[in-house]
Amino acid sequence: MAHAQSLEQPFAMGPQMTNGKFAMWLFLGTEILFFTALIGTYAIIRIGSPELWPEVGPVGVLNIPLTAANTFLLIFSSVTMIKAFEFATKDNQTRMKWYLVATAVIGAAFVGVQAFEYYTLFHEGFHPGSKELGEHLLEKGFTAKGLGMFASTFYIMTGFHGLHVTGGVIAIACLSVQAFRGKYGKDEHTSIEAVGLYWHFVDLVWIILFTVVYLV
Amino acid sequence: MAEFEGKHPNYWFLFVLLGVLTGVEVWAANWDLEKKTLVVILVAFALVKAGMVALYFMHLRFEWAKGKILYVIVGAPFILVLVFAFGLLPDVGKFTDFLPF
Repeated sequence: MAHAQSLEQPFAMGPQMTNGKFAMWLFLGTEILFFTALIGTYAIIRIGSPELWPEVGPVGVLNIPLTAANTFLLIFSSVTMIKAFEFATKDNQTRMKWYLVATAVIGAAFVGVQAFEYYTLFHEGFHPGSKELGEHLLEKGFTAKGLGMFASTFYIMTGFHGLHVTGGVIAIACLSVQAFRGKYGKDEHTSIEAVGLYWHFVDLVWIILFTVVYLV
Repeated sequence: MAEFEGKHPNYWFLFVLLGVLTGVEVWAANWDLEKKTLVVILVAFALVKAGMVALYFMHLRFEWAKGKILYVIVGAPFILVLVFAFGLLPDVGKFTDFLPF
């Protein structure tokens, strides 16, 4: 009798969440370490070797208003992503689909603005190993020597983040296609939740990077 | 995941709040303060904003009732992060007067 009952109500082992969501959280655990290593290394170089840094700081080199607007854009995309998940749980197909599309488009816009920023900075001579600086930087009294380390750390941190955003945009675009094919709804939305977690994490990392790289 | 039904926070309000905090943070970066004080203020802004994203957008605020394993997954790397940070502190203090040792 007891045996029959145990078959009817099996003891639930493991985490109370789907495998996909659990796997994503494990992956995000490794991502925390990855970005901490990058930011920690930046901090030790920046604080430990101030002579390698331009005295005026990032504010004098980087386009803060543009990046602040881009930060705003990424936060906005986090909202559209979570709304897509919310409407998936409510089985509101139309809103779920269009919020997914909006997230992919806004994420792509973020990458586009970052590409524009890179293009402008490269044009000004702000890159590792630069020997000739643009007028904008020369007017501020910079020398190529003082910008090399700053440029290296800047591109490594923001570049890796940009790659993560690009990966996220591709994943959300794939989700959008599947959503228009009717794959997701009230009973099946694990993929939206897992990719959403990744997307919010990328947003969270950018919030930290924006402060550490651009404002401090 | 129907357990989220009816429990979703007001995401648009959070969006406005995060936007306002970002604006204030950019404004604060130009305050005429001692560098150390400014760094502490800006990092505090960033941590509050990142915490809001983790708690409400990543739903960590609502996962407690469903089990603690998630907090172990998220907490374990943070312990290593603290070890990493405290491991770096002596070097930072050695090279600069940024830290009081």
